[in-house]
Amino acid sequence: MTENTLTLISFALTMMVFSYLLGDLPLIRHLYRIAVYIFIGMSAAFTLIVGYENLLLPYWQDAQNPAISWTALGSQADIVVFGTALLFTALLLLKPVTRLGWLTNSILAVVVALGAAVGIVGALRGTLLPLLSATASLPVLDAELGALLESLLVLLGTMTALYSFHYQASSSGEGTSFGLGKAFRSIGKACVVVALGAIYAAAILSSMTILTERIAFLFQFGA
Amino acid sequence: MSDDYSWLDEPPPEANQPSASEPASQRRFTLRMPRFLSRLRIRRRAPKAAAQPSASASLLGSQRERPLTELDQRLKALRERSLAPEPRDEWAELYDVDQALSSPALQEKPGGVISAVALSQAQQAQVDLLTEIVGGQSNPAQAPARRSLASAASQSLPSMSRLLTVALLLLFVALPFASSEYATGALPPADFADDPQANAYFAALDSLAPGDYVLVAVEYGLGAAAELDALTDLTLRHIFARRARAIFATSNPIAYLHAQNLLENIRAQSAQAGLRLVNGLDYLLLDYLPGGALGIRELSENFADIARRSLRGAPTSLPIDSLTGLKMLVLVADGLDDVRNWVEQALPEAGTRNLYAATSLAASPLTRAYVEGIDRFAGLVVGLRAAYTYGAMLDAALSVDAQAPEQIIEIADASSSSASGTSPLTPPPSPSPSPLPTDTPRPTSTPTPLPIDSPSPTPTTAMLRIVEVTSPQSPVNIRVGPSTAQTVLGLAYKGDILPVLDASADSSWYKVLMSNGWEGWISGNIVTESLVPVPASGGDDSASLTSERTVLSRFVPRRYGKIEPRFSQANQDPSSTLGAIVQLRERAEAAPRLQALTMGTVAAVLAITLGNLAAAIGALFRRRGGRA
Repeated sequence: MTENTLTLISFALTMMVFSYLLGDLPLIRHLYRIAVYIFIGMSAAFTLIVGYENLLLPYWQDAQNPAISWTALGSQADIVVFGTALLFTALLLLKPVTRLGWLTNSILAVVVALGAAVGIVGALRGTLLPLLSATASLPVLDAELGALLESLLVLLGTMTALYSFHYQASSSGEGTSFGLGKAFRSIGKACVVVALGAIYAAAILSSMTILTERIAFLFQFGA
Repeated sequence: MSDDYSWLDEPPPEANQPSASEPASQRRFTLRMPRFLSRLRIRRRAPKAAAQPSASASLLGSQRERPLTELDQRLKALRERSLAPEPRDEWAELYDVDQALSSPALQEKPGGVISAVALSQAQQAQVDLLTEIVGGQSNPAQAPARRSLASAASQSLPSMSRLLTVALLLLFVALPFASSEYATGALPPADFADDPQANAYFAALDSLAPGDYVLVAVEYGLGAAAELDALTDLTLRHIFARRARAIFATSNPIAYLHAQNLLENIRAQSAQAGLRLVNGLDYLLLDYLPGGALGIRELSENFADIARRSLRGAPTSLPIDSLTGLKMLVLVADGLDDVRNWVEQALPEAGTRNLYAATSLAASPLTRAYVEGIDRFAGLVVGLRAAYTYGAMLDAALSVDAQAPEQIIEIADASSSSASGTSPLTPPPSPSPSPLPTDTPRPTSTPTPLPIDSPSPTPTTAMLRIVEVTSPQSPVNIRVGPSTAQTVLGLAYKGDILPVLDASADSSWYKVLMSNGWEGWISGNIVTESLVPVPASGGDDSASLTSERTVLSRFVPRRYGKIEPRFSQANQDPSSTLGAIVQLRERAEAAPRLQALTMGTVAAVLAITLGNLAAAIGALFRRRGGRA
């Protein structure tokens, strides 16, 4: 396929996606949907191909290679691991058999639990402990004023934001409270709004970047 | 029987009338369809169907009611409670919930279980609103006539405000591309002086030494490609320009596709300057890592096993067996989850190695907050603006840092080199590297680090094909391709000897290796071809590309120094061979895209401001109209 053909296809797909701007019109809406279906379908197909070529096929070739097949594994432990993996794979392939659902589900449970365990260990070692360490080394009173104010601001924002999620209504039915709690809640809500606004604004800018890239492509295509 | 269930399609007439006894708290529930909900209305394709009892009503109507005597005590109690609802205690705690979520009272019919529902005005308003949202018909008697096709089409057309917003946004974004006169907004600074994290990212890559290994993890999808491709591209060029080696890994197949496309582009552009980037030599793509965090964990703990084989299944022989053998880890990601996965799973296994990241703007707020306290997370660049500054810094660094090409240390994937039929750039430094096994079977144990600079113990004699410039008209041109129409890459003088890498079928053109490491084509009419003996290494004098590279690197020509490479672009430093990898990148759209980003932001702010202003003015007029 020549480069010109690819460029033409890219142009057509770009215009099909941009047709969404015209709204939910008859016929027009199908253009956008077709483009989305193509993107999703091709992504899924590519993922499938990568999975086949990089996971299934190498293992299949290894299994057929007498030099590295399971019979030539180095130790009994390797054979046990290989056999267990083979057994799990075979059992997972029985998923369509409804009567054996309990069996495949139990294998899935092992896989999910393994993932959760890895996640927990990683979270502890990679995130929680480093963050705790960093928290313990926050600037104290002898630090410079800017760092101290920043730390206090973070502390205040965290506490008030957490407090703002606490829902309590008075028995009078008005659902409001007065005083320090209300002030804390207001500050917390303001912090949440600012944080969400920052995230939303960054997401809009990211989207705008995509738009500029497509517009640049259209201008290049026109030139 | 159908009368008993008429409430499903038509409320009791008295329910639509305001009741004097109704509390004020319920009367305030007079609801009006919000504008955003009115746009979501489903078109009624068959208005007649709404006049008929619904399917559920028909189904219910066809059932025979059981007499009260057949009901068990539990259902009887429930019925009694429905007929005489009492406020629940918990509703007093959750104010307004009793009005918003209260079930309607049932009207009793002698001998029947259900007769009708007595809706309050507030409940009827809510029913009307829901019915309107889902496109139903609350009261068939008041149903309008079938709408005309034109009316239906007008309902489908986008609103004028939406069209105006889109037009405004597209106009502003397109203006910088149409003409530089309309471009506005300052471009990013020329350095990262105000961004220590980004500065650390650049400095770390700039400090790479030849032969360093960098793990480049690409974890972004289609949505962020327009933003992160530029940063990935610059990161790779920086690594290659420092003669370091990039080892790719990812748990995202789409990201791998992007990385390979970028690599192909860099390879093609480098080839224009006579530089070759070879898969398995200058970069290596590891197997796709399935399972997200699990895959990254597997790579971190069993790096040697995974690195035995490249993405294309070719055996590799990396002289490192764990993440600690790397110089650094670089992550390009479009979300906090990917950053967190690599920080949690890979960084603890990387010893003292640092992790540097490039993220999209959308991911930056959370990422910046997350990495603030992470030890060994040493640098972060964000978005397209950072890419612009990074490119400017890279240009400046490589224009003044014109280093000579370093020797290449082969690391892997000889099969890919053989398949490509090309030999990588090998400038003539000494000593030469030892050739590595080209068809190594998959090892069953951890590979040992390979000797890099040890000379070959049993040298043999090999013949090298050379050409000598014999033209009386000196200097002669060395061109990019085998044609006089190709761009002139450099000059050679009478008496110059150049190693031959390739030749055209009729030997009318020779592909030669220039003294600065570039490759070019010289006409056969102005040179004389011959073979000269040179020592080869390792006893392997086969025609493999690996030994060919070794031979070339050991060859010392009689005369060098008068080859004058040049580019058509004036701003490139011709003495910076490796800088060509950076200099040859496409950069025409960088500034207009950034200006379009600024203009688009302005348009978005304008649209939001004007929209809110118009809504406020409209609300003001409506309020005044209501009072009048």
